[in-house]
This record gives sequence, C-alpha cells and structure tokens, in this order.
Amino acid sequence: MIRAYAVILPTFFFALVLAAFPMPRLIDYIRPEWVAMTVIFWVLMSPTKAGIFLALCMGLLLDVLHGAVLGLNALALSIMAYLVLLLHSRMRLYNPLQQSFLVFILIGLFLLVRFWSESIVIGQGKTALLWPSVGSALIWPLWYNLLLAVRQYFRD
Amino acid sequence: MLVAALICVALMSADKYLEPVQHVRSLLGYLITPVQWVSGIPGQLGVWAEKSAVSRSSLQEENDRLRNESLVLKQKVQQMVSLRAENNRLRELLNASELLDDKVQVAELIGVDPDPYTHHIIINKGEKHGVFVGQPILDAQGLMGQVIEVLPYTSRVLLLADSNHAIPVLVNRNGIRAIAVGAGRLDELALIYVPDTADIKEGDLLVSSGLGSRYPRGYPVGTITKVEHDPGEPFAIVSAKPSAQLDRSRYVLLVFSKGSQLPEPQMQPEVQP
Repeated sequence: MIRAYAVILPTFFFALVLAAFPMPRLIDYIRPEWVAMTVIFWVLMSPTKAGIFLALCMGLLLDVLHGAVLGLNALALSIMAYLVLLLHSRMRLYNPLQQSFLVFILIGLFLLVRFWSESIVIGQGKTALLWPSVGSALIWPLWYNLLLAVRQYFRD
Repeated sequence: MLVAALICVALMSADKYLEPVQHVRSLLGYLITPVQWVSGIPGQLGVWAEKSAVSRSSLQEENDRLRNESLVLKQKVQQMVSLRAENNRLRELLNASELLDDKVQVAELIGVDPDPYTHHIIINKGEKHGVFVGQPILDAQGLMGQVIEVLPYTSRVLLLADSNHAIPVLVNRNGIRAIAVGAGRLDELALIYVPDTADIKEGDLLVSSGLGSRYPRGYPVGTITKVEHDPGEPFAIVSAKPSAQLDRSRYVLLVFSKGSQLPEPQMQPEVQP
C-alpha cells in the first residue's frame, strides 16, 4: 500500500512541476492539464488506491500553486475523479483513440466545473475550456504510456 | 463524493470570507515550494551557462563600463545629498512632511504564472523574509507591481500590466493625476477617465502619485505612447508603455516604505480636565 503511494506521489510531483513550467505564450494556450491527466491515469489503473480524496489533495496543491481560491481545483478534480471511477472498467477496454476522446471530454468537464465555481465565487472565471482539453487529448497517449512504463517498472 | 464536494465548497467559502484559511494555504505552501524551485531550475541553468561561458575580454569590458557608471552615479549622489537637504528644508518651510528614504530588499524571479490570461510572477522571498501582501515591487527602471499572495518561502506578484491591476499616477511634467490600468499585454497600460482637454502628450513620464497609500510616490510607471481624441468617446484614449521591463527583469526590489502600509488609526487618550 505504502509502496504504491511511493510511486503515485512522485508522478504527481512531476505533473505539478510541468503545470508550473514556464513555456512560450503560444504553447500556454493549449497547455495540457497535467495533474488532471495524472489523476485520470491513477484512478483508471488502481481505483482502490487512488480515488476522490487523492484528487482532492492534489487539487488543493494545484490551488496553492496557481494562487486560486482554495478548493476550486479540488472540487473540479474530485468530481472528475468520481466520473472516472464510474467509467474506469469501460475506459480500460477502449483503444487509444477512444481513450483520447474520453480524456478530451473529461478534461473539458473539469475545466467547465472549475469555470462555473470560479464565476460563482469570484464573479469571473477563465473561459479557456476548449484548447487545454485538445492539448490534453493530444498528449494523452504519450503521457499514458510514460506513466504505464513507470508503473510497470516499479511494480515488482 | 458528497463529502469531498462539501469540503471543497466549505473551503472556498472560508477562503473568501475568513482569515484563518491563510494558515492552511501557508502550510500547503511548504509542499508546493519545491515544485516552484524545480520548475525554475532550467531557467537558472540557462543563466548560469550564460554567465560561465562569457569570454575574459567581454567581462573586462563590462567591468570597465560598470566602473565608469559607478563613478558617474557617485558624482550624482554627491549632489543628491545637498539637494535632498535643501529639498527637505524647503518642504519644512512649506509645512509639508519630510520625504523618507525607502528600504529595499533584492529578490529573484523564480517563476512566471503559466496562465496566459494573467500576468503574475513568483519571487523567491516570502513570509520568512518579511514580505507582506500589498508590498510594492520595483526593478531598476520603474515600478513592476505588488505582492498579492505570500507563502513561507515564495510569493506571488501581480504585475502592472495585468488587467485586474490599477495604479494612481501623475504626469511628471505638470502633475495631472490619472489612473493607469493594465491592458492585459505586457507592454501596455491604459489611462482611464482622462478628459479630452487634459494636457497629456506623447513621451510624458508617468510617476506613481502615492494616492491610495499602496505604492510609494515618485517612482516611474511608464511613458505615454499614444493620445487619441475620439469625438464619440467621453474620455480621451491614452496608452502608455511601462518603464519597468516586465518581461525581462530577473532581479526585483521589494520596497519596505512607510507609505505602503496603511497607518494604524490612533486613539487619542482622553484628557481629564
């Protein structure tokens, strides 16, 4: 159990670094949601270990990293993790293209929930919903295989 | 799921309305600081490589240039002392308050917010170094912005060019007051509510006016680049270019000035007759 988290948490650290990494402005517009994708991956792979509360904790860290209202990303990420929990047995059987499409929908929902709660709490939200989801869907096969390799390597 | 959602909603409302949540944020800040450091490493490697790959002759050149500059500045400082004394004497005659020197601390930029719709930077000084929310930030050329969030070892700075930022300024040439708001682009500020008849020209220097008690007065903010009079608009359209190099400065100055913190309201002790 503890060994599993010794693999999961470093991948989240890496995802957080990628989320804070400075990039050219143009790439910023389609910057994939690394942390959300990592949450999807771990919930998909081991739904007993990674679940809503892991998503909640990572969301809180993301909030502090982005200087957002505390709980904003946490809410959106835990709702998304809940959806993945419902979907995971079906999603595992999909081929990469179908998975990418589902990731596009999930990240889009994550951003939409974030936008809604942000506009309720602060009064204005970030309306960038489409391009980050496209970026995430495009990079998903690569990220999935990378995390899968990490998981296989440390499993035994 | 419901429990998680309730926690989040409670946290969000608490963050908006209550003060103690700052402690939670600062605790999580300890976890997030290594992330900020690591994401800043490649940039710092670049700077280090640039520094260590300079040739001897160019270092020599730079050294000479800096020596000359230092001489010129020293000469100016000599005059400054007497001028400052004279200025303070004259202000005393006018019964105005004395101008105070501002204390500064150097900080290094370690990150830029990846969100393309805001202009925030992360600096490597935080709560432990005495940074406070609302503190003004300068670079060598002018005002850069203010601190909006303090974590234990880092803090987040809102730049002048962010569209959520406004600063009271005055035109250095004639003292006309205006408000400069960020236009959302790093190289542009917009002056709002400027009457069509106001005497503002291209090339005028804007300095902070110190009204609003947030920024110290007298620091350069920008230069006017465009003045447009549109008969259909109630006010003149004036844009300015920030003096500070918002996209280039690596070292910034934190100002600890008397004017930047609101004075505590003082209770007068009642005098017994």
